[in-house]
Amino acid sequence: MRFNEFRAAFPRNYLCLYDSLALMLYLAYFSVFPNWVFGVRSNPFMAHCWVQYGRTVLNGTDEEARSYTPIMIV
Amino acid sequence: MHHYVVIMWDPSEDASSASVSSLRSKLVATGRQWSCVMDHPGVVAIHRAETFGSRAHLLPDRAGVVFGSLFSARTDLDPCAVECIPQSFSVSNLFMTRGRYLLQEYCGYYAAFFNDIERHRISAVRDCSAKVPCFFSKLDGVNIYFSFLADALELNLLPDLSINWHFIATYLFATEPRTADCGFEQITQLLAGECIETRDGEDRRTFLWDPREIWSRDPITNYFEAQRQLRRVTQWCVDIHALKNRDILLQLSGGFDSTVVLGCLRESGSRPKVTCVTRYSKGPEEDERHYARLAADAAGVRLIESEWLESGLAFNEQLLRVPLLPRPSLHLLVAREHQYKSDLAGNIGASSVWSGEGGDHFFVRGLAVLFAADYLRDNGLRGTALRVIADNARYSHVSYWTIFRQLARRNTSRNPWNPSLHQEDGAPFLNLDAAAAVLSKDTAHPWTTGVESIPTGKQWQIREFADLLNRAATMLDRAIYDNPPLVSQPLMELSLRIPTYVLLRGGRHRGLARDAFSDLVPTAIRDRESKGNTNSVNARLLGTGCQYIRELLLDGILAREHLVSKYSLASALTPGKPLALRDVFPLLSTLSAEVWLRTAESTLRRSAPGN
Repeated sequence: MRFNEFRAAFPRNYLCLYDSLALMLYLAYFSVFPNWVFGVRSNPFMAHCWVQYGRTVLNGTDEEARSYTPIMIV
Repeated sequence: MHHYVVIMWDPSEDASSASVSSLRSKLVATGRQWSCVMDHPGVVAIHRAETFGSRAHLLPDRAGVVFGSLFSARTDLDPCAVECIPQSFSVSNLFMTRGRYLLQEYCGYYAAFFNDIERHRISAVRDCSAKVPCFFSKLDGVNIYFSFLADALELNLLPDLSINWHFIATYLFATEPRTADCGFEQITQLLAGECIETRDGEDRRTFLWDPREIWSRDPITNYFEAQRQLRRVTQWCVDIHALKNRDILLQLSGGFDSTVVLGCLRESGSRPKVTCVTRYSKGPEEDERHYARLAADAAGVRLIESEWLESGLAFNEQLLRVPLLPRPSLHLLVAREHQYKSDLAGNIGASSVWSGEGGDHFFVRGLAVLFAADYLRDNGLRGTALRVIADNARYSHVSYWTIFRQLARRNTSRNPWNPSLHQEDGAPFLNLDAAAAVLSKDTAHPWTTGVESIPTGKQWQIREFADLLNRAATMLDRAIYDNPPLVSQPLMELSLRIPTYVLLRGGRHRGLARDAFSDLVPTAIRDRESKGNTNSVNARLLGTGCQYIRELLLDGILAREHLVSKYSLASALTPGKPLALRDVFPLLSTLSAEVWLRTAESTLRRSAPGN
């Protein structure tokens, strides 16, 4: 919640890769280390990434994340 | 559907008498399936009375005729359907206001035709919901109006038709431009809310219903009043539609809008019988059955779950077995899906197919809205300006600074704000020479011009209205037709009167509507931010039909006329190559134009003398 409030004040528009990395670093500051998940979908091809802690998606929605097939977890 | 044909002329003009006599004899001598509604100097009108839902209302003093359904426009009274035009209807007011009287006193879905013999004025009006199709042609000074091209061709009423190549290029450039032009030079369509008035042989087009005027009438800026009005008027619109449709098939997508319609139906005093259908596929974001079940369970209605493409739709030879429409349309490609839906409705005894169509536009969903600009315009930097700017940033998924920059640019630039709604898709297959011949004015709906003094959010909304209301689905002839209840004049007018920063309060899509209908919509659906789509269904259709489409397009009429680039098409349609999302709609657009051209050429060849 707090990250989202601060996020809009940062002069850069939303991009899943950039936002996920920023959220990972922010949470690491509090010693929280979630997963950074990369997913793809085909026909038409699209790629996306998000931050997930256990079964909870921290940025974006469950629905959106479910529509991608994870190919890499950091 | 409403099948009608009307011819109108100025009885005092001698020049058109030979054509009138020929056309009139064709109309009055039609088979038993047609009935003559009016045969009066200046107007002859016929319609297919046995067609489901088709209604004709005669105006007093034989002034004209209205095809469609009419309701009293008083939203403060109980919903009231007009079964026949009352004696209190003032023809003189109709003539004096040049048709505006009809849109002020009544709402509904109709096409109206009236002849002011005294002032030598012939008029045709299409109501602003545009659910009843209306096309216009001219033969030797006689105006010909019809709802379906097949009828006009069958009755042999039209002049010789020729392809409007400039429109075809425009169509490829802007996918279904919302303009009056059609695929034939000799035919135009009446746009939503438009009137064509003919006097002394000159046609004059005006909008009797114009959102550019309505938005500023008595704006509702109080959030709670707006919430109350939105709830009341939406319920009223559902109620008036339920008066005419006792058995309804509702397309329940699982989204907010169709669930609102279902909730309002549950509250409706006329208690219509409702069956819901949800379509799904196994593609990403294309299976919303979970939400649809939630909504159906909450309302206690039956839900039919049907997989997309269950109709057998495929991009193969069946594409060319479509009726000829006055203009190309993406709906041509999915005519089988429309028929499937209509058949499904017929099988369960439903008289119309409803959906939540219009909710995106009236409750507002769309990333391009700079609603903070509207707030600053009305209130300056007072009150909750910073809160609204923050809401706008959250809504648009950009930073505060981007919103500040857009606001500053808006206030300093001389260029009008442009949300670039159509240009996003581009036209990758259009030949460069053809693209150069298309001017931006060719693709723009008249409502999107002259809007510089209108708040940016309202400009965006008006543009969205033009897109929604001039959709082409109504051109397809089906036994049971779509009748989305939200697409109604009172709700459109109310939505225009509520500023976008009220409609989107909290930086949420449909912010006001979520609060207004909070008790009608299950919480899981009310709080949803995402929305389903059919991208993978389209991509799958294009992928499996790739070989056929490739041959059809590379060897087709568009390529012959040098309107498309064969190189770009061949590259995109390489078998086995994954399709890029940005190419999906341009490909569908090109394919629909080719299908339409082939159908048009074969029809014109068949109807040529000697065949």
